Amino acid sequence: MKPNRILFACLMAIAMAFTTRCTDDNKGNGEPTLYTRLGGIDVISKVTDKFLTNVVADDMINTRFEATVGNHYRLQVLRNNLIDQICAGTGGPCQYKGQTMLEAHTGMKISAAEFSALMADLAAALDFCEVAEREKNDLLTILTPMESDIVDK
Amino acid sequence: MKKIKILSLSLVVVLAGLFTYANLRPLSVAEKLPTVDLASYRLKGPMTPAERLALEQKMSALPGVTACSVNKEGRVASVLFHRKEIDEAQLARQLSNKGQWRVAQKALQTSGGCPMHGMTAPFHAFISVLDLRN
Ligand code: HEM
Repeated sequence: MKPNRILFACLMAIAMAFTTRCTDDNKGNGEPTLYTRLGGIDVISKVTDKFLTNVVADDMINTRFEATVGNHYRLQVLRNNLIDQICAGTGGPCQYKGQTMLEAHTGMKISAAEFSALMADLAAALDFCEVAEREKNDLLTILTPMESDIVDK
Repeated sequence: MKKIKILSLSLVVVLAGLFTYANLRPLSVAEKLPTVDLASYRLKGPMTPAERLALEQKMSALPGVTACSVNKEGRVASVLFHRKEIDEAQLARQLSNKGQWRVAQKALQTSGGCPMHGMTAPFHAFISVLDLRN
């Protein structure tokens, strides 16, 4: 009887190991990742595109980005890096290939006011794409601490 | 003669290497998305906040447009779009809303900004031309 029980327990353990896996859809505690809650890559790319057009229309900071968005290839690199960064940072299946925030912004002497303007453009993009308040705040909470690597560098 | 042969052979090897790299390099999730272009326009004529929102929504819903923003003053519009589906002239026509606003495309400066990104842009451009997956 006893060996049968052990065999049963082993089979159950093996079955669980095969059926239980950490997908992108949960953080291991059953709750979906922010990536999933946001709506995956489709919503992230929509938000990023709206964010980019907001920035380009924003007279406070658009001169900073003019040379980038005026060049087809630089535009793709920036857009792709932003999408991959948000996707990876929210627990999605992406790999951010760009520079660190400190490397990317060193020498630009970005002010705190410019940083706030950019974050407001992002918040407006999230609102326009009808992202729920909780997910919006969660994403802004991930990005806001980057200020120390971006401002006054 | 021998020098020319060696030079051309090296050139072929380098090009073959770049071609292989361009087509075999792993693409990120974002790199697999269709590429976009950006156009910026100056708008003239009075615009209420409601008209601004309506214009943004109308533009964003056009086939080929991925995003459109008009600034708070109603003076600048920027549009991200897929060139295969819509072009700058069509976007300008749509922005004018049947003549309600006067629209002029803004020429964007193509140099300057981050020097590092400026330097790597031609390489990215060349690699993406060689990439047959695009
Ligand atoms: C949380 C806020 C920000 C995030 C997440 C962010 C993210 C990024 C990323 C991912 C890149 C591309 C790095 C690469 O290509 O390797 C970049 C570059 C850049 N960022 Fe930021 N950034 C932020 C704030 C700002 C602010 C406030 C400004 C200026 C007002 C700014 C200006 C730039 C510029 C000019 C580039 C270089 C673009 C190019 O020439 O290709 N960024 N940023």
